[in-house]
Amino acid sequence: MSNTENPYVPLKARIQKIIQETSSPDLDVKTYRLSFEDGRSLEFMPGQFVEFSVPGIGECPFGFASSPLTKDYFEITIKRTGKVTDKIHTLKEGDFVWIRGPFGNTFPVEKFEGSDLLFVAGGLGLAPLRPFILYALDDTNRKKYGKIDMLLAARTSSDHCFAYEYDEWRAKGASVNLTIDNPEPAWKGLVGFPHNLIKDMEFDFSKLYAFLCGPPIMIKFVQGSLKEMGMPIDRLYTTLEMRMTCGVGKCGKCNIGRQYVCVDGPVFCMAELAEMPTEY
Amino acid sequence: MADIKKETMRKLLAKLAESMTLVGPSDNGKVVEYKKTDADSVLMDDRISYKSPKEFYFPQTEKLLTFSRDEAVENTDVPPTVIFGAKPCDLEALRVMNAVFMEGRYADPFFDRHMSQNLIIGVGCLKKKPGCFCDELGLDMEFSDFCDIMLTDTGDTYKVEHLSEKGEKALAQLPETAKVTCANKRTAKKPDGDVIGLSADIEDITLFDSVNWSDLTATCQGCGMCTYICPTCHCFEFKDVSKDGCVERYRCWDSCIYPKFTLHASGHNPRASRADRYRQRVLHKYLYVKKNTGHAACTGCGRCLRSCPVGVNIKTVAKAVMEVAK
Ligand SMILES: Cc1cc2nc3c(=O)[nH]c(=O)nc-3n(C[C@H](O)[C@H](O)[C@H](O)COP(=O)(O)OP(=O)(O)OC[C@H]3O[C@@H](n4cnc5c(N)ncnc54)[C@H](O)[C@@H]3O)c2cc1C
Ligand code: SF4
Ligand code: SF4
Ligand code: FES
Repeated sequence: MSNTENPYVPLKARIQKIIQETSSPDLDVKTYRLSFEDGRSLEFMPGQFVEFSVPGIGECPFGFASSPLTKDYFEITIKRTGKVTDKIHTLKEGDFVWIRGPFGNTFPVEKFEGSDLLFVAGGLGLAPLRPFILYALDDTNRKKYGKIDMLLAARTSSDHCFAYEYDEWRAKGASVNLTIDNPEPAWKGLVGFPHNLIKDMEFDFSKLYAFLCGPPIMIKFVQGSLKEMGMPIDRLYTTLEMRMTCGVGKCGKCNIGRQYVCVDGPVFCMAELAEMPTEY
Repeated sequence: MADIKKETMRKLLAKLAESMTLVGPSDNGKVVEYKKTDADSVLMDDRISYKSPKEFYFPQTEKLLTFSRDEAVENTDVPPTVIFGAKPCDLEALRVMNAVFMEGRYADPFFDRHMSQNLIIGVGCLKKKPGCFCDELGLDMEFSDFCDIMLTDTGDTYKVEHLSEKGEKALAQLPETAKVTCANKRTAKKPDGDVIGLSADIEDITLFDSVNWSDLTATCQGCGMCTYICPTCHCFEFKDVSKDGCVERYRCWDSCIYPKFTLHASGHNPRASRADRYRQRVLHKYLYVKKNTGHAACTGCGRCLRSCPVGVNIKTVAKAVMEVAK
């Protein structure tokens, strides 16, 4: 449920910190650490999103990017791409924005207990997966999950989001594999597209769940590779992005078949997607 | 049921209009439309308005919020309104709207406020108008219980029945001599033959690709007129407006017929063609809403086909889709 009685009413939040995630000239992604002015915390679970307003400019949906276990603040990672996101990128630490939420469904994290987890992200696709990654790697939860593998793709070495955290993830027992599209002189990671590289990775398909987020084309190809390798599609999950206005299943924008991505999603199992009109 | 003279009904409306806004069908010389009116001028004949009365419970633009320095203050200012003369198709449409806005995980507080402030007086139709097809959808053109008071036109008088406490209270304001007690005992007539409609058991993807949507909608100009005048269309967008140094947020009607409705910031559009968008209009009305609320979101009011500049007819389309669904 939304944290205000009227789900259309946002609360004032202060930007505590801004982290520059990428350094390519044509891809500008920043993480915004936010907290509510009235001190309340935002209870959410991995997969959910907020509606983020800059009054006078507009409102956009963004997934949570921080751990649901962190109560003092929450983080949103935003790519500059249009009217509202351009404006957000001009804001400074200490400035105010307006937030309503949380909205949407969640990754059913408990269902995956006892299983291995594979996260495949393309570019900013890592942002909506990060809450689940941090949740699973947290000391209180780590032992509930088996092997945790990641294949994180970006166009260039300057475009990996949350790179400052990968060593910590590795220290908690995750295997973090990085790839870029084309070779670069000082690059020590992998080169190439995730759907090819994934074929060199080894999995126990009897107890694996995989989470794919990124450009639709990447999701399509990675899904193809995994299926070929023996992965059943009812163990594959992704998140959908649709244009949204209300976030509460009323405005009609995000409707696909009988589902509303803002309420019934944004997290979908691939088996479920296979039964939905391909309108995303 | 009780009988009330139309003249007496005008007196009651005048009385109600002392504390509420009165809207009802009015003849502006060109068309019949719903608008703010007075008890003397409101139409009491069988004509149907070219637009539905939806703007009086789901306004075309409605202020939702005002951003102050520390707070986003919600607009709670909804004028109490008497909606007079809503047709059974409009009332059935309101039932659908109510399900969309009030059911599910969230209730819409703005819609809720309109519903609690409105007094809705329906009136049964005497005959079908050109383009009407409510009966073919299985609805009763004479009666719907989704209102506070229902009237049946019998010439100089109305048969009156109330369907809610609000309706009963309103009737209690009738002039002494005309006081009536008239709780509703009727229900809507059930259709006797086959009706136009899709079974809620049909899978979402079944009709998505198997119907030739391009052919069915080849003439559509994408103007969106059909969605604006439709009593069940409810899609909306937010717009921020700066006023006296304050920002106000409004919600405005939007339309699934417009390409920008689903356009992503990346340029990708999940419904790129006009046929894609018309398909959404038809399947949303006849299938998706039905699955979610139990009611189809078309009540056969015929407004869209009467107003479409190129004569696109949703009834013909629905029938063609039914053929494929068989
Ligand atoms: C559930 C969900 C989670 C998302 N998470 C993230 C995230 O973590 N980081 C991130 O950078 N982006 C995310 N997005 C995409 C983000 O919402 C759009 O990039 C953003 O709305 C673009 O707004 P704009 O005003 O800058 O672009 P413009 O093209 O100027 O858009 C104008 C208006 O269109 C709407 N709009 C345009 N594209 C989208 C879109 N893809 N989704 C929803 N509304 C749109 C918005 O209302 C916006 O105000 C997410 C979208 C969804 C639906
Ligand atoms: S069906 Fe007719 S009224 Fe509706 S958008 Fe197309 S041309 Fe306009
Ligand atoms: S789709 Fe057309 S006929 Fe059906 S309710 Fe809407 S305007 Fe009336
Ligand atoms: S965003 Fe309004 S219905 Fe989903």
